[in-house]
Amino acid sequence: MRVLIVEDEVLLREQLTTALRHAGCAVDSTGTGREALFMGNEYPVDLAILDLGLPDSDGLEVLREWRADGRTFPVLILTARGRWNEKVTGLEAGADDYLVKPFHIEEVLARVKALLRRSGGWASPVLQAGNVQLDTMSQQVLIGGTPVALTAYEYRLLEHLMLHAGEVISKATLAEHLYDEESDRDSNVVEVLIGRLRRKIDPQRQTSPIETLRGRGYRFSLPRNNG
Amino acid sequence: MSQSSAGHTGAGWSLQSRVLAFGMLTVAAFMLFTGFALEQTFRGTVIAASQERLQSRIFLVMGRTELDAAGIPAVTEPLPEPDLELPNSGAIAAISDRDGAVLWRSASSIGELPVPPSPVQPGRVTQAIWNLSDSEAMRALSYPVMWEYGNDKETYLVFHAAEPARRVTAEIAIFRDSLKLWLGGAAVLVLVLQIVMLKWLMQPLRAVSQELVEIEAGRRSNLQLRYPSELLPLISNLNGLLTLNRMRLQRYRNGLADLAHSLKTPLAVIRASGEHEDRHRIIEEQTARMEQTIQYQLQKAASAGRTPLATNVALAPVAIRVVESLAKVYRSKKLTFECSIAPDVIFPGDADDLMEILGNLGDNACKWARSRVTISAAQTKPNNSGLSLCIEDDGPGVAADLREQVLLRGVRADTRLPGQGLGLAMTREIVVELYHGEIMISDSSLGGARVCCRFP
Repeated sequence: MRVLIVEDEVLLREQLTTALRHAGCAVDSTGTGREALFMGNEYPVDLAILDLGLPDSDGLEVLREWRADGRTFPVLILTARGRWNEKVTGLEAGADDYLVKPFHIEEVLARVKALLRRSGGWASPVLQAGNVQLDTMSQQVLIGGTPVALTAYEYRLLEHLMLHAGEVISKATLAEHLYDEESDRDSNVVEVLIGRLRRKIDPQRQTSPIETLRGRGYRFSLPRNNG
Repeated sequence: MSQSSAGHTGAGWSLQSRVLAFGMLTVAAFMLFTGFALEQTFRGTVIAASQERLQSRIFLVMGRTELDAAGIPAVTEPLPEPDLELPNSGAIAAISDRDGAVLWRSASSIGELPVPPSPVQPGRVTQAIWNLSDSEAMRALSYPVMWEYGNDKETYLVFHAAEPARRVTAEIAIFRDSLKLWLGGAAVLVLVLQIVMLKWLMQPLRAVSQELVEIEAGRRSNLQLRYPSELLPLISNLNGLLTLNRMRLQRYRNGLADLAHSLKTPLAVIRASGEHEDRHRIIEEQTARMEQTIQYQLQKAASAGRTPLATNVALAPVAIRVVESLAKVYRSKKLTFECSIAPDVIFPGDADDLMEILGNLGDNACKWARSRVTISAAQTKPNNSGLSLCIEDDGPGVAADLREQVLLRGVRADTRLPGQGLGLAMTREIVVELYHGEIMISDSSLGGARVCCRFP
């Protein structure tokens, strides 16, 4: 999942970036509205965290322009004032949720995960499909009730596939959503990751949770057990 | 802000110049019209007088006229009017026959008389202006008569009398001159009175601005209420504004003092923790406390309260905005919202405060609700005053012994859900402290909590 952080306070931006990377997201970040506008329109953003008080422009304006340009990714706004007037205006401008500063990083992560789940059509923080159970909060994966140890990238890949369970996702798209601009990207790595992931979550090759559609991409094909 | 009363050039004309310009226009129009009317009337009178003079001269001449046997008239001298004997005196009398041939003329007339052919009808007086060849225009009156003489003979005679037309115009000119003098004097008087009236009229306004200067300088706190009744609403509004301003300032000061005080305590605790083994936990606790304080004091400072210049806000549109926002935030809970608010229900105060109340209570209800949240509002008194605003949910509700507590600052009935425990306290602060209303928590028929605010 690729998250765009727009926050002008450097320390807070770095804390958020670290926390979100740790939570299994690819993160791009900026401190200005101008760059935010560009990144939101050009990068395959899955979710944006947007501070309303930016030095060069109003965060609400950035948000309105994203929406006017047809960007539909969920947006979590950060506000320092916390007046309802501001929250309501932000939500009306196209935000999906808000957080009032100061906040705990855990709260941000919970909101981000919830918004990402919601955009994939999941209501519960625990995604269950077939015998696979993925807890987006604790980043734990159970296969038939048994915990499986995944590397960070394997987890990101599985989370992305499961959040979009049933959809066909191309190798390039997967790479884009797994790695931010700073990482070296090579779509061959995706093939290798998929191979390793399959061996870990379906060692007996019985359920085939991840399908390969030749020339089109991959699909997580186990039926969803919960909304 | 200082000295704002001086040096500001207002937009457009000043009131004073407006009144003066209009006054001058009115006076000028009135004077012109009056002058014209008076002159017309006077001219009529003068002409009538002239006519009367000529007429009586004709009668005088007629009274002394004798006809000889041939019917030729002669006038017995001396004529009663000396001017008629004086050559070139301007007073003229003459008698002509039907064809305009002069039969007799006074000694005063020199040169040719432009006697016109007679009118047919005897007894009918005609007026005319004669332009004599050697002198000025004359105003003339002709009176034709059938004159009997001898035995049973009669002849047609026309009696004429004339005087210089100059006499009439000169009288009119004299009149016009004195008219100008009097009317001009009256106009000046009216304008002076107008200026005096204006000064008198503006005096209270000048007094207001003087008082405002004193208020700015801190020498007085309110405007006195001894102004003309037309100004009183303005004055009391201004006073309201001043009071509001003072109250705000006081509130900000109190807020800042509270803020400083309540931030210093946790800071002191942190500083004192030194190398305490629990330092991390202490810092965490105290920063949370500071965060709460800041949030609370900021919210408190930002709320407007019921102002003396009370504005009213339609409740339903604000409620709908808040509900739509909450529905978005709590989308995953798939809550059903019901708003039963008539479109004409009004909130007696600031829109921002209303949004704060609805937002906090609504957010709380959504947090706890299982599936339903309802908002209802109605006016409790006639004339759109008094308001009852209730928000209910079907969550677990609030235990009776906790109801008082949860309205207090920083106390939360349950810490399972995120939130700083300020929403209800903030709402209570706005409703009770700023709007002198009440807030109550009770059981909802939906099964959860029902929070009601009542505004006087």
